[in-house]
Amino acid sequence: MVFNSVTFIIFLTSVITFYWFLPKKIRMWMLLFASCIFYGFWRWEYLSVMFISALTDYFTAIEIEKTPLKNKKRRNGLLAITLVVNLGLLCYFKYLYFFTENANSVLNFFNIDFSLPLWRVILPFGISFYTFETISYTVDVFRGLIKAERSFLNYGLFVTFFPKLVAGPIQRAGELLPQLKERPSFRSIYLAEGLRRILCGLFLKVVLADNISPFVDEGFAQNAATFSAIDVWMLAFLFGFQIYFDFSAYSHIAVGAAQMMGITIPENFNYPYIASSFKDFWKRWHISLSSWIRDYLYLPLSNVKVVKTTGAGGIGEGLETTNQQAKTKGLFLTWAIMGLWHGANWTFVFWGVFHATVIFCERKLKPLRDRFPFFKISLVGWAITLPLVMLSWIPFRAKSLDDTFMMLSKLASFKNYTFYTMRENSYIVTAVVTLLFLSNYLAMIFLEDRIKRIPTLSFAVNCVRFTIIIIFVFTFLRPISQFIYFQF
Amino acid sequence: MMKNRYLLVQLCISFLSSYFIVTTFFSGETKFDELALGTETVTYLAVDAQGNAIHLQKTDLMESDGFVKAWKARGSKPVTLFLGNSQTHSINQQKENEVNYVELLHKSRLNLGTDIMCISIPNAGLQEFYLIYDYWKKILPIKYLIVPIFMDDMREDGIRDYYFADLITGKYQISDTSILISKKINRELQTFWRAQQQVVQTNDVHTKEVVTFQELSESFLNRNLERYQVWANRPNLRGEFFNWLYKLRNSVFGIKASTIRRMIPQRYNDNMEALRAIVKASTSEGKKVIVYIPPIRYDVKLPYDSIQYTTFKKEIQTLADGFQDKMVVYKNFESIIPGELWGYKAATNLDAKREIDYMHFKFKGHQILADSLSKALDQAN
Repeated sequence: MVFNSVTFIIFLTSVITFYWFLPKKIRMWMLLFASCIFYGFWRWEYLSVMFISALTDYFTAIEIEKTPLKNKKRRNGLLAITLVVNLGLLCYFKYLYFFTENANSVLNFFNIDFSLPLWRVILPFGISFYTFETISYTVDVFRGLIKAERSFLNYGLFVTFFPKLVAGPIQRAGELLPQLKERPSFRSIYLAEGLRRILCGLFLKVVLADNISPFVDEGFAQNAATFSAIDVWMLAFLFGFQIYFDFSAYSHIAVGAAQMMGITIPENFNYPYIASSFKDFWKRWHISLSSWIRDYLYLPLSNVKVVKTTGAGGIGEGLETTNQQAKTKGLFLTWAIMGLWHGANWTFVFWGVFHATVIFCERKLKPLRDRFPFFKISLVGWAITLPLVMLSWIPFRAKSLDDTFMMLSKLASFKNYTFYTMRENSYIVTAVVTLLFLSNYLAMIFLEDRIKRIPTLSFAVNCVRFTIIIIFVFTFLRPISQFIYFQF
Repeated sequence: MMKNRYLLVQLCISFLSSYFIVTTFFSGETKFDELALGTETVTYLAVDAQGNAIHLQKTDLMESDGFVKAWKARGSKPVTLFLGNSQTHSINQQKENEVNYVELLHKSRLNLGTDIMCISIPNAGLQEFYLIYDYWKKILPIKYLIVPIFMDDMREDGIRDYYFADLITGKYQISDTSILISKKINRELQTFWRAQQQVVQTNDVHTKEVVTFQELSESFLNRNLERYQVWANRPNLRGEFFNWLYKLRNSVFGIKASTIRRMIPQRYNDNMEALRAIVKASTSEGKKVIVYIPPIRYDVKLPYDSIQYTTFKKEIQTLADGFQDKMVVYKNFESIIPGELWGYKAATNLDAKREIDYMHFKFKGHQILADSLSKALDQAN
């Protein structure tokens, strides 16, 4: 089910109503059933894939907990089962075509007259998200950070809980399970806050992201060889904003829907485009993924022992003392995997390596930056980071690596800054969106608190703001496009 | 969680005031055609002597049924298919009994063995012309094809769903997929079909097209909600909003009807490819084509870059000259209509009252163009 639809609004209203009226035990079953309906509205038969993943981790986690720590062989074997099943599902559904296509290219390169059949497999919605959640659950049990959940109802609900099922935020069992088990008493603020977040999310998706999308689609459909440098910058910024509005919209709605049930889901975004470095950017963008990657990939790959995992990023022992080589290897490997997680295409790997390279440079340049106070000003950092972050979206959206390199190469020649090739509206929309984003951020910093000090004014401003949002959401609500992150 | 004791009250007030605003201020139907043309210019669709339509404003199967019936009633003569934009179906300061050049041409040439019929849609790009031609050549025995090529419309891209709703419903596809532009148009038709059926758009190559419960329920809910005026009026609200944005943009940037319209390379190339596809398809089927540079208000500075406009005209002429045996006739009618036969149109920004209309002329202008086209048809014969 997609959030930007009338179907979801009716579904959510029904679920919330039942949720607050049913007794606890029945309520849990109802939520599990509703989550299955939510998923089944896309393709019910793919519920089985999700349950294969969930059941595997449910049983292996219990077995791991039962197995004494000294029996490392059995514990490792059980963990391997989890990883093989989950990563196997992910590889089959997400990467089979990519692997066979690349294998055929290699065979062709060596003039071997043999090619593997290319199977186009339907990618189950949310598979990248729920497999990561189930893996992290078992790994946390393995590390002894959480207890294995004995009730399949509770555990099943942790995996399938519909607000975050298809595109996150990626949840940790230790954070969600206790909340699902303990329902807070009903408070109207839950409904109001949840509704506010859902309205904000719908506004970002149906009013902003969906209306930016035609400009982006038209731009990236063009022959990359015809672009000017101005076009490339424009498309980078425009897609950067589209994906931000789109994905943060999903997270707003997910957080809002959970909030209506009194459940807190961690925030996934915090004004990422005001980051003053790439490191800072990843503390603000898709926070649940970057913290997951840190806890389950980067820290282990950098030979660091994880002693606590949370949605905001875990705690590792020995991060400061680990050697530089291990950290650098961990950095690049993590980012290449992170890129591939986003999509089965070399463009995503390039995107990941691009980020790793910039972060690596930031680390190397840190001593130099510390010597010049000028670079310590966050405005300078922001002015360098924002264009680079936006440029990194080019491989994320371009059709191929060839197009990516062609577009990036346009930036190197001064001649390419003397003309532009697209309709004027594209440039105007980019400029307006950038200015609106910045002014919204500045208003939040400088105005919001002042307005809040005057209750009547605050009340009136909120009423006007919500009225505008409701009118726009009502006018533009159409499920004309799925959320971008659904394809991951 | 943000603490706001009055949040629920604020939201309730906002829902009520939104409902009030939407139902009070935006309940009427907006005629966007009139907004674009202004009050001085009137849409006129040509009819035959019996009052039957010979001129459609969109490729709508429901309407075209009567269109074909009337053609049969006139004796199923070979057809001269006219493609056009708002210049074709608009008369500036129309008086009683004044008709457009399609009707004048139809009446003057009916006894000469061909039946003039026309499809014109506002701001039609050549990609839309190609789709219209591809569809109608399968229904009518086209002998001549007349294609005006507007520099303005070379800036348009793709096709618009609301002018091809029935083709989209019928999952129509251009049959010749050997050329890139056909593939592009077919892709767009598919996309519109998916949107029409409430099929969620996906960029994922791994996802098959299937009708899901989501689409079925969304379709069902929307059909039922459409019964309520306030819901059915949403497309109008979107139109009003974009129209206001368009005017705001023009006001902020000082854009007027006379502002230079720059060529957009990719769109220009796609439209040229569509034109080549039309001409190639029709000449290979033995149909003669008249391509012409349409009249524009010539006594004032043109809203084009002079080098780009000259290149554009040369390119059309070169294309036409590339065909043997007068299969393609090129005509340049850009300056045939004198300045006094043009008018003004409603402002395209928030402050000005009216602006020069470069596109739409008075009845006498239609007479001049009809005579010129008649001569071009004689030449092609």
